[in-house]
Amino acid sequence: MPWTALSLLFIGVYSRVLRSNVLDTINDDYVRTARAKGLPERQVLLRHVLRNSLIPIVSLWGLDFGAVVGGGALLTETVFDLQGVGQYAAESIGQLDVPPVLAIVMFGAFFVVVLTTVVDILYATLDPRIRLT
Amino acid sequence: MSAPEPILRVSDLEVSFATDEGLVRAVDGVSFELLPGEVLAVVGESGCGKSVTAMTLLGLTRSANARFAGAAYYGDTELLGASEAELQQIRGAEIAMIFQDSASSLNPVQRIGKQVAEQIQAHEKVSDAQARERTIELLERVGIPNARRRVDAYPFELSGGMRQRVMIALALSCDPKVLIADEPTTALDVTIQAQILERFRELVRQLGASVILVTHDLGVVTDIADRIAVMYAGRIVERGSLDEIFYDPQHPYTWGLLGSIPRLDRPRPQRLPTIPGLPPSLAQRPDGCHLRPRCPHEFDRCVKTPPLQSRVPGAAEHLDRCWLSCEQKRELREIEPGVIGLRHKHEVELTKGGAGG
Amino acid sequence: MSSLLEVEHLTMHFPVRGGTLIDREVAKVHAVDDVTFSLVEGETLGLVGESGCGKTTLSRTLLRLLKPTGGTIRFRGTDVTRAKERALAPMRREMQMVFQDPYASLNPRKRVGQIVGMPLRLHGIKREAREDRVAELLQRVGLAPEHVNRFPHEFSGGQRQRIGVARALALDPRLIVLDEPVSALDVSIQAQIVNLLEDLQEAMELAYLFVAHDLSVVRHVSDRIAVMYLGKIMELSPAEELYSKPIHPYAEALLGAIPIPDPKENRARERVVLPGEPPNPMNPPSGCVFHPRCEYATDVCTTVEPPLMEYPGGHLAACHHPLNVLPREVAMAKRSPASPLSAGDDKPSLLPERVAGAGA
Repeated sequence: MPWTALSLLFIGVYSRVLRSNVLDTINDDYVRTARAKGLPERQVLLRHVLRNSLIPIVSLWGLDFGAVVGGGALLTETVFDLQGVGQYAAESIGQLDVPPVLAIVMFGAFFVVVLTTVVDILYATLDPRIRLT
Repeated sequence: MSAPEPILRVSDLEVSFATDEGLVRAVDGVSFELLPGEVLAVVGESGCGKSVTAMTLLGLTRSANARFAGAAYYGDTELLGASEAELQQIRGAEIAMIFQDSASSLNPVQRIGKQVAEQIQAHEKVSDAQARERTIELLERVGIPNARRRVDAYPFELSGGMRQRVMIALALSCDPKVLIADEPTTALDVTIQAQILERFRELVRQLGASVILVTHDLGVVTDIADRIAVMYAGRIVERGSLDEIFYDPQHPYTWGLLGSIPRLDRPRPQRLPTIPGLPPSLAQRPDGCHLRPRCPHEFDRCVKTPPLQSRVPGAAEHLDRCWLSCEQKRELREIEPGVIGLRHKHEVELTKGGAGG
Repeated sequence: MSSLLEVEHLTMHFPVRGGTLIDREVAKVHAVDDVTFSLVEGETLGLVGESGCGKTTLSRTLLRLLKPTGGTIRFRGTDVTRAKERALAPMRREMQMVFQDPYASLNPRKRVGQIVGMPLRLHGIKREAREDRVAELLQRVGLAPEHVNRFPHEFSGGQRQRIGVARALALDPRLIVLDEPVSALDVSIQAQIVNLLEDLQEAMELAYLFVAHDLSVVRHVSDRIAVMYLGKIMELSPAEELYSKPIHPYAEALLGAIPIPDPKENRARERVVLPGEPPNPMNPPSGCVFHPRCEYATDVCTTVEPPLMEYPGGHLAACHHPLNVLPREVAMAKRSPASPLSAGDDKPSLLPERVAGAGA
């Protein structure tokens, strides 16, 4: 249940971005080449359009995931009464207890940095043009 | 002796697109035949409909707002009405296409070997290893050095000339009977263009394939074409053999095209001859002959669209769309002795003694 | 005719950075490698070469859009090679550029009037004077003054290029650098634009640096033509002479690669197709940079860079084994001061089969 609540927020954003990417990609010349090869439309859409459209989504995902893991699910945890980092953070803020808040912020920052690095590496694997930079 | 059966027959092809300004006709009644083993060049400037014609043959222009009329026969199959499944069988395997911009026509994040193998495996039951071997062999045949290493390269790692060779390898991979090449060398340097054309010509000859070459570059046409169809504003305005078109052009637009090629083998002219004005926009074509606003030889009959037919005695296959008689054409096209071109409208009026246009 | 632009031993090298932990320069791209030439008022210098030869980099460097890594650029006698931006302003008024891609070089969100009027605005010309001038410029390039309020996408490629020319003319420059201005256009439209450029040149006494890869187009507009390869000038010749008497094998190859639009002649011609591809400018070949693809290359070509020799008639060529020259012309040839500093001192020698007049 909490997962559904949490993901609802992101589904909207990701769908919009993916839709926009797909609309761009589907008109690209190489998709036309794929069709001209005689590939079944399904294969064209999956292997060329979708795959290429998903690449920019990877970087979005990294940031979001890092934020969520790092304690960003504050509201969700409070609502569903889950004993998580988020709730802890909420309490500490409420009690104006600084050290836990500092620790949680560092914790979150750490995760965001790690995941951004993971995303960078992942991106380079997916899009070979990025590797040279 | 019977004439060989044409491998492709296009009759009265019409392609229109529904836009905000109404129905716009990109291709306005195009007919031609492609004989086995020949290279037919479809020549014209931007916007004349040549690319749309070529892509329609493979069903690549189908969309919600596209309307088609006429017919295109590949053997017994009628291409305009064919189902997606039928077309998928034909694309790549029977009729293959080489696109213009190799930089954007190849998937940037997929290795080139994979892109070629993908087409092979779409049409033939071969293993990954077999497809890869065939790909390497193809890359070698089109002149890519170090093919065994290069097969795993990404498109951005290759130069323009190499990428275009990959496109050719891709098109040839399933031994198609017809190749449609859409401006295959336009983006390339002239020395690389010469290399690629030479290689292309040889490969096509080996394969025995027929080629539809879509281009605006008459130089490329001189190098490899057997017959030419000149297009203007959605119609074919002249059709004939290479020699017929270059040495006995019958349509004023063809005179204009030939005249505006800068010639290195002749002394420098005072001004580069041009075709004055611009081609009509798709939505605003004049009635009758589309060249009327730009043609200095227009007369009263031109408001009725001239049919594409042979008006040259003894040359049944040399067709044109101009009401003038053959003798008139041969006289009017020489703007200087030995130089073919299209005069400017106001020049012609002046010589007529100031008669009002 | 006073000298407008003097370029001496100009180099533009781009560093390639790499390294695992520390970013250091691992290689250099020799985009422009010791180029010398000059331009006088009212003349057109054609600059021809294929992709990667450095002509685009050269044209940008001349306008100081890039800072040269070596050599000097003098505009009207003033050294502008390392001048600060502010000091360049007067030069910028007199030196303008027309770009290659008529679809990318005009801001699609601005109206034509704004695009052409921008240079005027930047130099403080008031609105009314600006509007008059814009209307005048549009008419000059063959467009109607009513087009002032339209957007670029409403025009064809050729018309957009006219807009680009109008913009370049706005400040009444003395020199226009045209970077492949007609390559993206159809042949008959190319001819229209070339004619327009010629008319403008005559009416306004403009000097042009016409960069192109198409030798047939350059012939018509140029007084002199420079042929570049891998950052160096291979040949610099009076226009007509390049076509009748190319001295450098690369120029000969370029001319040979152009199909003749005459089927019988084209079939009769023996076409020598230049093999291979231009090498990587990060790793230029030793000696003469063209030697790997040259059919006449000998040992000296692989070790010694040929100097630019001046042949009679003001025709320069950098080749150890020049073509289409007589033995006495070779004897009279002097080493040009435009020669790259790294070039050797070897005198050119004619290969026996290629002496002019000794038969095809």
